[in-house]
Amino acid sequence: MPRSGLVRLALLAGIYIVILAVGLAFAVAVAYINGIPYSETIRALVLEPFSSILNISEIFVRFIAIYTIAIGVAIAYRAGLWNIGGEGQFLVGAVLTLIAAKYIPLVSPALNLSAMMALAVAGGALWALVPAILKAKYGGSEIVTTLMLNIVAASFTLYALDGPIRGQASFGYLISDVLPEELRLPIILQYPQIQEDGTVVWVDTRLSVAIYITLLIAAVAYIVVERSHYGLILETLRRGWDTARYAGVRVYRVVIASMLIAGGLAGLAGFLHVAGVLHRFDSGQIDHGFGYLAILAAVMGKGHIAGTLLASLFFSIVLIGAENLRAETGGAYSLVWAVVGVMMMLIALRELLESRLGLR
Amino acid sequence: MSIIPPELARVFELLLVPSIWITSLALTFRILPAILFASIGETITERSGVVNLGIEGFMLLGAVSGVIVSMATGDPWIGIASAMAVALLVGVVYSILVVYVGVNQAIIGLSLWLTFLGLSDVLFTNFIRANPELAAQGIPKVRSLIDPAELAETIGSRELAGLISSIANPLVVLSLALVPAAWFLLNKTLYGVKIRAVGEDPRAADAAGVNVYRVRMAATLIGCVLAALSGAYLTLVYLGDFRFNVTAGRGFIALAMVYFGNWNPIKVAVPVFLYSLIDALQIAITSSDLSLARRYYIFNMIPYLFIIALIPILGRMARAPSALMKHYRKP
Repeated sequence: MPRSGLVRLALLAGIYIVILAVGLAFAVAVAYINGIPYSETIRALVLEPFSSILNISEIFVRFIAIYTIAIGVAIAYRAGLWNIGGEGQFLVGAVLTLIAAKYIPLVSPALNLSAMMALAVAGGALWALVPAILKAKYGGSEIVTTLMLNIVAASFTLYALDGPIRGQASFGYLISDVLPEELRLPIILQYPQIQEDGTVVWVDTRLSVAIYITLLIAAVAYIVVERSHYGLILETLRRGWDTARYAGVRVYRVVIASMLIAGGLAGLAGFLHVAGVLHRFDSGQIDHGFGYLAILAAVMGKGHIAGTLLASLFFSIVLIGAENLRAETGGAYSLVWAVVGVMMMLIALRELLESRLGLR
Repeated sequence: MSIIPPELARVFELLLVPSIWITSLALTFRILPAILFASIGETITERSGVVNLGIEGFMLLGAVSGVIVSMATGDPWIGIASAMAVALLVGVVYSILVVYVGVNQAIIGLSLWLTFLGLSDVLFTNFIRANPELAAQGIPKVRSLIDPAELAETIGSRELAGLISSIANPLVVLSLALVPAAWFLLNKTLYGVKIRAVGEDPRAADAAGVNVYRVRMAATLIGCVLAALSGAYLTLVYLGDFRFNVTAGRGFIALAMVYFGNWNPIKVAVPVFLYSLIDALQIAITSSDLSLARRYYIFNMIPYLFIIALIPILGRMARAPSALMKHYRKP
């Protein structure tokens, strides 16, 4: 039976507290096996991310990348499609951003930045177009095709770093040139740094106007998906293609459109990360993991734009915590994947628990 | 960018050399089992109506437990056996969740992948750190029954000897033998009929007295164990090495192969062989020419692009089991 009001809220909160607690306990246990004391793990994962303006800004830097991809994943998810390709679409977006920056002559910063963004979005969308067509026409599993295109995108990135966008001072390393000052997104937050002589200097964080772009897209996506009939179209598709066809939905079109949106947003995330944060790209950035975290965020948020926002924020905090853990204790970064995987397992169980407890 | 045409010409030049093909064929049989075991297992699993998206995770689990145990004991066979045993244990929990409880197969599958992606690396680094003396000895490998150097002397061709010796590896033979065995199980035995029945129409099967849950669980477990065998083979025979993300998407390739093979073990083996051949060719070509080796990433893409290109050709014929990925709830 469906419940309402406070009972429902309390049960939901309970479920999430259990998920978080188990995830944290697992992280502590695995880190402990690796010789990291539990107090260190808890401090790095829970307290450290909020300990300074710099750390908080870094949370939002990750959040921009994860959430921008996750909105797309969520939209596809609402239509019953899995875009596992965010990882690769992000790379294509990042590479095309740098290609556009290098080869399009500078007219005005705003115009050039728009061109870079447009190319990145188009590239990401193109990367999702092939899986979309294969899914719509031949029933080829988009999970498998998008995943394989991630591997292709990684190779493509290596190719680009070794060819068209190889940096002039790369000395054999696969690293691009730094974006010129005027082709970077403006930074919006500074943090105080105390100098040796006691004076305070305000230094730029890495948080740029990208956050506004992401939130704007979230707002648009919220209106379109949650507050218009498009959300309903996606829902009918999720229920089954035959049902959707019967209801008059042009399945082929909706499948392609939602995958294109997902790919385009992942490409946009690549642009935002390169133009706003990194200002360059190198082969070490290829395994960034934002694409996979975005999937988790969308699943945890059940494909709702608002829920996905909270989940993306949560995974950004986890990421910062894990990075701190690695920096301070030399723990393995791969631990993050294990913890994230366990939490996702709990999320799979959550669905079940919710229906048993009458929350759905 | 302008250097590509001469390189392409070089590739075609190399493709005309017969010895490249024999070397590639030898390599093909070494690459093949790493996907074939998992594909055959997944075929059986999917015929029962369950999609094991965690196949990559089980491969990683098999890979890491195989490596750790065989390094600790010095015997790769014990490593392989324990890889399968560990996968069986984890598989029991997994299949109870998927078959009996009915959790979302996509979410739990992807979560298993990520969990073991992280956990395998953490466990292995920890093991190496704790036992530096074992790490120095390296990973014991399953050797071929025929020594290529000896055979080369008797038959006089190094490439041919390499080919025969790479097929003569017990695990390669086992993987090839599994193809007809799986076909026989699915099509010629009563249990095979049950597996197919619960995958097509679990309700009717249930009414006919088949225990849907038990059959699905068994089919899922076969898939889990064979996926782990794939992973153990990868590290203990093919690579002789373990690193982060050592399987590099091979589990997902296996998933695609099941679809290409239209859920028939014999037909699944064909694209697996083709994929392995293409992968072997790209390795043979890039390793035989230094200027091509520097651009390895271009050739790395080819096997994946090949699979994607196959979808429109083979996808038309594919017909999935009707109850695929659908949880069965007893009425």
